[in-house]
Amino acid sequence: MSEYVLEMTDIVKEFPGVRALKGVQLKLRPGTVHGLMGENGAGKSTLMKCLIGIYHKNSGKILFRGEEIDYPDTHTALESGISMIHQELSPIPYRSVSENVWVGRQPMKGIIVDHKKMREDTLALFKRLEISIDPDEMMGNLTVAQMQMVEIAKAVSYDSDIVIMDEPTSSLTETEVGHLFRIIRQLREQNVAIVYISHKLDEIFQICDELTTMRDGEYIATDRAEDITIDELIQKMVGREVNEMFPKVDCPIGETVLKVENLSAGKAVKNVSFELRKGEILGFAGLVGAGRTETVEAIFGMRHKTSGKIYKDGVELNIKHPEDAIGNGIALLTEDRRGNGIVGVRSIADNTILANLGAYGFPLNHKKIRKDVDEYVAKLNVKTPNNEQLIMNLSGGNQQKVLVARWLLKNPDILIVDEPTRGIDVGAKSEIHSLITKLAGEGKAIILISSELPEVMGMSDRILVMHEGEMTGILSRDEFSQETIMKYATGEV
Amino acid sequence: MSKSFDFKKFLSKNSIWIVLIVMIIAMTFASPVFMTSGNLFNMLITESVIGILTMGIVFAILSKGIDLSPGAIVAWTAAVAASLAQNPDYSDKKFKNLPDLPVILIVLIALAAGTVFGLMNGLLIAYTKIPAFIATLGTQLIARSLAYIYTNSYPIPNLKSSFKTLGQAKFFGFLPSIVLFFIVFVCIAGFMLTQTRFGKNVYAIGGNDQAARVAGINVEKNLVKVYTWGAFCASMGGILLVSRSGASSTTMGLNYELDAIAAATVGGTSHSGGIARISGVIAGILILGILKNGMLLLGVNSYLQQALKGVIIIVAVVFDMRKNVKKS
Amino acid sequence: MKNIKKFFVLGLSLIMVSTFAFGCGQKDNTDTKEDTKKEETTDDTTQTKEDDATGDKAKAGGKILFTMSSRDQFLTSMETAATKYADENGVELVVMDSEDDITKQLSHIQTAVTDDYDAIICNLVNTDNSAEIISSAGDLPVVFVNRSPGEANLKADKYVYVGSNESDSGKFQAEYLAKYFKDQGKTEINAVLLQGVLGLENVIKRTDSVKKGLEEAGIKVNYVFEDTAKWDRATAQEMFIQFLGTGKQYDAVICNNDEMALGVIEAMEMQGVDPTKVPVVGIDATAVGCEAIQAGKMAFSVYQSAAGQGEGAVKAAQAIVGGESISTIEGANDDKTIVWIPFEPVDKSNVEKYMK
Repeated sequence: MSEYVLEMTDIVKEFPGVRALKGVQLKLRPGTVHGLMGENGAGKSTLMKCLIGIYHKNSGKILFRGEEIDYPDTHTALESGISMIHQELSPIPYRSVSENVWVGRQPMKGIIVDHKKMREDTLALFKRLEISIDPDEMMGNLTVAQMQMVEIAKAVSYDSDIVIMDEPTSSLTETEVGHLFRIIRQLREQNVAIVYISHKLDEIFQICDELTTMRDGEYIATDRAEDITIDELIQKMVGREVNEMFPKVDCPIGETVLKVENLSAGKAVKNVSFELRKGEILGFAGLVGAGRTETVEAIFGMRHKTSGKIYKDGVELNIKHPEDAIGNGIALLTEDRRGNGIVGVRSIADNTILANLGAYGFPLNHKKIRKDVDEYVAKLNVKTPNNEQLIMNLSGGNQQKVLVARWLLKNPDILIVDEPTRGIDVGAKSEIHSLITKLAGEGKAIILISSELPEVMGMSDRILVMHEGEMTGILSRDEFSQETIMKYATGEV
Repeated sequence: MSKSFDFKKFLSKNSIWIVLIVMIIAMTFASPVFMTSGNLFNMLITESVIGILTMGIVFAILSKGIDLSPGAIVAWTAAVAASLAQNPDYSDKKFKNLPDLPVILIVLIALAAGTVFGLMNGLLIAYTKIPAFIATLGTQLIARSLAYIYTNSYPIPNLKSSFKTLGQAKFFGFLPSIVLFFIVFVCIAGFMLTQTRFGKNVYAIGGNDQAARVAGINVEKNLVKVYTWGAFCASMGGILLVSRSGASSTTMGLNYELDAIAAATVGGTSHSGGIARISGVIAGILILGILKNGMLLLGVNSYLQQALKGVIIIVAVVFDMRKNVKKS
Repeated sequence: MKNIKKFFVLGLSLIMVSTFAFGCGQKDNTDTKEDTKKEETTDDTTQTKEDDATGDKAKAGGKILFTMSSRDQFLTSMETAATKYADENGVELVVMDSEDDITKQLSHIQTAVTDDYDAIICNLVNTDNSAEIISSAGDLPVVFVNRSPGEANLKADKYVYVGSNESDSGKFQAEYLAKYFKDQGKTEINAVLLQGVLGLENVIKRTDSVKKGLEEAGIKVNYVFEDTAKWDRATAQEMFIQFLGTGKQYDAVICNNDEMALGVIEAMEMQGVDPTKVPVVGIDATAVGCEAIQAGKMAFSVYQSAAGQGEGAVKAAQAIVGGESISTIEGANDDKTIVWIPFEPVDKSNVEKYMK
């Protein structure tokens, strides 16, 4: 037997017109956590889908426990000992937790499902993993984080030799991440090999033993985690050095553009007041659920505001609908890119001009549309063969760039960006950062919501911190420090 | 290499037209009558009213909704139009003292009477948020019942010839007016979808209504327009149908909406919203029309006809879905 | 705010609907006050009958309750004939309208039981509810009219049915066509057959009986085109235009109802075909159909006698109440369970009789 439990060599996968994997390799040792690194679109997910039978490789070799395999479907992969936690959860909301765990392989008593055993098995599994969720609870009543833990438990319950985790921490809080890491270490001791995919580099270095890096469908390198620094890793992923992660430039700050007074929206937002000036980037910091998104939604007319006043250039605004906000020069890049950002089944061009349709007359001036789209796609460096491509076929980072282009085309005075770099690869992230800074330099007023403290500290002129719907403080640049912000964010001040 | 690739792409992009051409070729061989201009025009005439309805229903499906009311609106507007267009010297008129109204006025009144139901659909769907299926099912029942009440379920016969000209005239000696109307509605629908802000808005609302809202589109207002347009098409369909057949009856337009939905669906309109092309929809209308016409010419058993229609719809949609899956 | 908007929209919709209903209602607006109307009608009718009929006569004919499913064109003619016959023959007849509501119909039956009526005439709201009607009626005899309760529910001189036999309508069409072609010396013809909605009992009976009738008359029919036009005029019209395009020969067009026959005629006229040259036959003898027969465009139709059914129902009820058997009535079957009211053939020679 070889020292590897899994050896994938020279894997090639082609889609019509695209070569997604160009001879990639991945070698897993039992009892290790193996980070799979690369920007969005590098081919990590495609590689994993080839392994578990969702896609079928065009050429190459996969050896699992020394035998060559090519699974026809995920079911076979699961039975053979490879399970995967997908990035997108697929819970069955109106069934119990235990039914969700054992769906498709319920313990049976003859032809009847053995509910008692199913419940006991769930309890035993949860106990082993130290998860405290009631197996009888309806799946739909759980928080997203709890659902994620159930999903993890489900993957573990197959007693697989290989567990693949695709962005498992995207909806987990810090304590829950700690919990997940305890589970991972437990699996490692049981000689399970884990493939760990994440954009959060600090997590990678905390938990991974080995790292394989991919770029544009090609294999770059495999390193031991202790032998490589973050900067070296980023360089391998991006293919160039990313020097200025937060290219903050001080630019002149002008007069007040937006003034918010005692803004409240139900229980989510209570009495928030602040001023935003021309050329300023105002960061919003806080824990998940602090009410930051809700605050900007209330300003933008997506959420009903129960009280408070909003002034722009000294004039009170009556905003009931996003239409009104946009008409007054306010734009919001929302955090939920799929939910209320992109129109997936339409082209890049259609998505770019969506907020600016009024500018093209009747009938629509297609020549002008083409010119604008070409210009902004080039300006934002959107990677696409052509602008008629459906936006759902782009990577997350490129989708985000199209959405930014949508608002730039509208040319707002105030741009609110909510988690603009979440789930986006390092290269696109730095491009979006420079763009925001540049916009501020051009005199736009910007609100930046981010859960990444380094990002919000690196980019902002001032930071407004929220805790449970209330504003706990506004910090100026010389007061910035992780400790101070966390104090305000946890309500200790 | 590149040549065969292009061909494949061409095939998948135009599969619906290829199905249509294959059907035309097959029918030409199967029946000597099929390829005569007389028969082709007759087929077009028969499909014109459903075609006009389809031009409306496409917008509803595109916006991720559905419209079940057009067939009933056809019956209702047909009754209204017929009651106003009876021969002035006919002894058994519905309105004894009705003066001889100009045709344009009759058309306008009937259009208004039918389009009101679209407005009602739109307001209900946009502002009370009840599902389009339910709202339009309700209007369907109301409109048809109204047609029954209005006519006491009697046919309204003996329409004056100036009104019948609307649906029976021929332009340039060969183009039946009803087909001309169909072409006009196709042009309007195509223009709205590709050349106006409204069309782009509907695409966006169907694709992702939340995203459309955030991009500043007034989703509610646009939905009202969508359903009003749908009822407008249905009303015109009703007027043309009654002017062509010379008398209204309450069974008019029965299940037309299902034929229209089928045509739109076969033509590649996605029920998940956001995807539709007028060219495809026209192909869908023609495919179902040729199927009906072909079965008639070949004398296919009437019990079997329904089944064949069902098979075609399912096969067309399966192919279409596969096409979309491959793309993503 | 949102709520106000919602209510506004809901309110607006309601107003629109009710305005329509009100403005277009052909009947009197008592429809809106169902309960009071029902009582009023009942009282009125009872009163007039008492005024009209002298005590002796009422005793002689008995007291009969007639519950109607609704009041459409056909049923109203039936009601008028029944009332007229009752008046003339000393029967106290009270008519009630169920407005297509089965619970109302059942309450009428209960009224009949408690108010000491002698018999019930029932025009069923729903033919599936006949067993319930019979059990509610207790000891009272029930005469079903126009809508059959199903043979299983019938009982000699107790629960009887008065109606027309759908099979006869097709038979009359066949008789007319057989004579038409025999006069021309033809025994083999090509025909087009347009049916109503497939699967309905009357469609099957009308179709089967005309086919069988022609066969029995010795006419060999080649059905060059047979399809459903769903009772609908416009559908029949478009269908027939396409059929004409095939250039196939046909000697007759048989339709399950007049509406479809009229659609066929419209199609012929549009395509420059003379409808008088080929017999187009329908069923129902509707007003418009009769006009077409008079104009010579439609050859023949069959009349279902609403008056005959109304009269027959009262006759049957009268006989049962008087302790006689319905077998004395013309058209009764041997089981004493059914009185058939014959269909009547309508052609140019007698069409005037069926036009008002």
